[in-house]
Amino acid sequence: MVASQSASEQFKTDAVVQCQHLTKVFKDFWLRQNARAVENLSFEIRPREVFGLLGPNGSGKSTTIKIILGLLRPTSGRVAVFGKPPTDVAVKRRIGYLPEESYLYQFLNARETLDYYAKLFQLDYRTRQRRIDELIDMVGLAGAQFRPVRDYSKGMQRRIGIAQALINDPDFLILDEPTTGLDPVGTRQVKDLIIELGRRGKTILLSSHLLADVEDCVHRMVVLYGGQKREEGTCDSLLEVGDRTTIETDTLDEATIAEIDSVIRRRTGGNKSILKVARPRQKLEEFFLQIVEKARASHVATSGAQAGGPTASFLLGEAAPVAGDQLIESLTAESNQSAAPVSIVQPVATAQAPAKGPDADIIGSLTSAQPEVSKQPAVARPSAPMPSKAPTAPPDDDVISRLLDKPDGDAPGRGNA
Amino acid sequence: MNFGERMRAIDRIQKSRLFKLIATAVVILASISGLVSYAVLHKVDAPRVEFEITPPEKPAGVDSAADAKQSPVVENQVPSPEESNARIAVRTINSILARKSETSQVVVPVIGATLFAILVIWLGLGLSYIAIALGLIGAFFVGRFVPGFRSWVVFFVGAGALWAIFLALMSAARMLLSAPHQVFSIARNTLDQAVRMKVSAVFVVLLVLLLAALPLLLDSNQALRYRVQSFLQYGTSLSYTIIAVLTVLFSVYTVATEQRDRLIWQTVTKPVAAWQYVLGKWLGVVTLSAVLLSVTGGAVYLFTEYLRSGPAQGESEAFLTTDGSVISADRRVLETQVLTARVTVLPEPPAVDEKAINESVEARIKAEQHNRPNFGSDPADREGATADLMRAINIESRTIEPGRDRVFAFAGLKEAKDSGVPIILRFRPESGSNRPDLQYTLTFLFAANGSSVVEKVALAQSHTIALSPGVVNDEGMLIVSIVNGDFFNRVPNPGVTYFAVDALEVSYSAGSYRVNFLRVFAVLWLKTAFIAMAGVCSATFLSFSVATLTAFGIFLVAESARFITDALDNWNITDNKGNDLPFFWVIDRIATGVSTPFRFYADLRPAQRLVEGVLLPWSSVATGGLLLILLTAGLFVIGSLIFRSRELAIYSGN
Repeated sequence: MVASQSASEQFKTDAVVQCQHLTKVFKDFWLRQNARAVENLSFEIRPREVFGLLGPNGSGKSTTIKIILGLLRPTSGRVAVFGKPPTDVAVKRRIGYLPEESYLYQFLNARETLDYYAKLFQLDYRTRQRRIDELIDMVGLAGAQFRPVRDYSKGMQRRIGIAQALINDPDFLILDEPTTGLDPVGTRQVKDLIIELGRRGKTILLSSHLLADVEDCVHRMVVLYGGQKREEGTCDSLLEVGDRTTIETDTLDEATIAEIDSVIRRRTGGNKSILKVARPRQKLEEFFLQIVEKARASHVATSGAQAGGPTASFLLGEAAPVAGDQLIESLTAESNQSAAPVSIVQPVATAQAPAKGPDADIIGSLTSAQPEVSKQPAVARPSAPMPSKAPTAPPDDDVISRLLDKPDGDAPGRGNA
Repeated sequence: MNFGERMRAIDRIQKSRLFKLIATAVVILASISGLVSYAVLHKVDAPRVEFEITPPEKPAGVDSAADAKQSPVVENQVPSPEESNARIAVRTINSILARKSETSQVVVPVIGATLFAILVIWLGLGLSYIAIALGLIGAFFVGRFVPGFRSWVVFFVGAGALWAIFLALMSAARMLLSAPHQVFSIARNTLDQAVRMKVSAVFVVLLVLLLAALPLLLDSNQALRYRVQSFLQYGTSLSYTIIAVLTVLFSVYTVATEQRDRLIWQTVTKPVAAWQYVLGKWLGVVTLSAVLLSVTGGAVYLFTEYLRSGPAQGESEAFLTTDGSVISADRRVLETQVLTARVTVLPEPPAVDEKAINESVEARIKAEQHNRPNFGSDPADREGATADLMRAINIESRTIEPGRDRVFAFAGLKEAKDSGVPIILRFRPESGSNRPDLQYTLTFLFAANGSSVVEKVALAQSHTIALSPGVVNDEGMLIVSIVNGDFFNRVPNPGVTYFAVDALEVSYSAGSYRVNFLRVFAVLWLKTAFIAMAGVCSATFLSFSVATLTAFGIFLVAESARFITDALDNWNITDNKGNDLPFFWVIDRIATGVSTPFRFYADLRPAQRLVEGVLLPWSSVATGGLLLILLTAGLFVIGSLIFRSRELAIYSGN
């Protein structure tokens, strides 16, 4: 099957990367098979998408990347990058690569490192200096830019590695374990950068075994194990739990929850009910970032990497139109006014951010039927019931039914942009 | 303003364009005014020293050999008192004396220093180097008066000056390689690696310290010509050896370790072609060797000129003898045989009768067939027999029985005759065990003009005779009959006299020592360029240790190719029955195969020529240079092709 397919398939010129039945077998000096790193792997990376390459250690992720970059030759199968073989020198002008470890010249400082790589792209002096300044600010190494790389911590070296991968404003960015060695601040920054670059039209291949990092960023992914592809698809298609629905509201009292449960049971003939009620927890990452932000606001001194600056301007090409962009941003603005985690970079609306909750009026209609006991002041309140926040809000049952019937992200009363 | 701020302010000043322009103008004006002042003072205060002689009239019938003993000019060194010979001698002496007041000795260093100062200014280091120069000068003057420390002061001041020159030239080289191009970027990065990584910095420091220490190791009681030759020998040969070893090690290191440490991944994933990477690495290494050779060459040249300007043996100061003679022997030899560029001619091989040779070979084969019936069936047997016979003929042609003579012919001397320069006959006689207490008398009879020279010399030592161009005939040949004894008094020597292959030669000055110096260093640089490419090429596919061994092997074979081929000529690979021994035959073939291509490399001998004052002609430079360039280009192509086919994510099988 493999042979007949490879004979008839043609590389699609619009795919950034196309791998067809890729196999890589490592052999020893006596040409005996040593390890079968990749086996019959086929996938493609489309333009303007953030693509995840996942798998445990030794699953063939880095080997696949090295084949894409021409650092290894496939034992069988075909690889094309922008429609050309990986060894094509001209294609590499459009690629940026961050390897899994930072392999930098220890005797150069940060500026010299970036200058060296920039010259390999034949960038003129002014362009080089401008980009170097912006990238060093972006990765937060302005205070250490004249120190030799050998004096850097691992995280600082990683930041310079990221900067060198972006020096040529690549169309296709390959990041192999980009958050390795970075603190949560740096990790958050890298993820935000990836998301923003993705929105700005860059194609990104992200390889990692830190699943939480990948989940926040990628559009599609391939999961490898033992050199073989196990799963492929979008985050939603792979991760969505098909038989559950999650609704997030402001704090509810027990009675309201019970009423919602009874509505669900009634509507489903007793087959469904509320399975779990819990207070959502802030992520440890967000909590950590808040602490750091407070420390920086208090100007506490540090000799390490500092706060990263804004994304370098030369990387901010034209933003791609994204469905629901305005909605996302407006909802993001509203949610930021509540207990949202502090972001150390410009807040970036994510293309894959889950749709925010329903309209505030709907929430209000749901929660205003009974006053919240927890928020009742100590003084006596008038016995008259609280007026509804949404004078025209429909009855509770209809709201619930609409929520149960519509897919996530569709706010009742609003169409998708 | 604290110290750091002051330093930064000074740095800003010296990097400003206004400062650079003003400083350049000041330096140029100072140089011009200095040279003009020197020229005026030199013309007014330093009358040209000239020596005049009225050659004696030659009475009719007087033996020219007897007249040679009477010559007042150079006793036993100018063979004929004829008017033309005396004039040749006078012209030679005057040309030597003129070097005392040679303006180029001042002009060249001043121009060099001016250019270097302008370079330093435009590198933005003007004020820094003024401070360094003032510090070194101050240390030198203070240290001279501290008892017991003068030598140390001279050493450290010299080392400091050399290091400052090295850094300035490296900055200039980095600036030249600053273009935004893959090859230049990789080359410049390689240069930075050379200076900032310990592996090469150690060699550079060693070289600087060696050059600074060499003058202190010279014996001041030794004749000036020997001191100059010693300094040239060690300053050039030893420095070149250090630079060559550094080139081998660093060229391998910079490529192999980048692959081992995976630094190369982030380079080759950029738009860098394989040939650009190999070329860039090579360019960085040869730029480093060019800088080092420039520092070495400048130091050797300047100190040689400094030695030359000092008193020779028999002089109270340069060119001023203590015994009132025109010129001392030490000075004369120095100026005519050491600090010159001579062409050397070996005697013509003996004429042989091919038919007689063949008959002799046949006879020998037939004689040998009594012991080995199959001898002669293999063509190699005939070749070996012929070679043995020719070797014996050559030895015989250089051997002179007691009381007998032998004629030697030297061709290609028309240029010497036409230019009227003296001809130097150098010879090294041997006899038996070369007893040190024996002296042999040799008579030299020159056919062209009937002159003769009688010399009583020690055995196994080199001796020279200065001859007038009149000993060369109109066809450009010098034909001399050497008698093993005193021809005129009919006294033979007690034993046979023999001249080895390189023990008899004539030479004449054909060029300037300075231009020869430049040619020598140009060839040295071409050799390091070839070695650098050998190192880079080896490292494209071999691990660091194996590549180092390979590159060193190529270097050693190239340098010793002449010795290897000469040794192979005398190496017996046959058993008692004349059969080739397989193991030795294989060794012989391999050694011949690897050494023969490098024979031209070894025959260049640039450093040795400089020490011996032998001309390195432009034709040799061109031929040798072209062959080196072709070899280097060949290795470059091979290295690029190998590198392009490599899976760079795999190193040494891992």
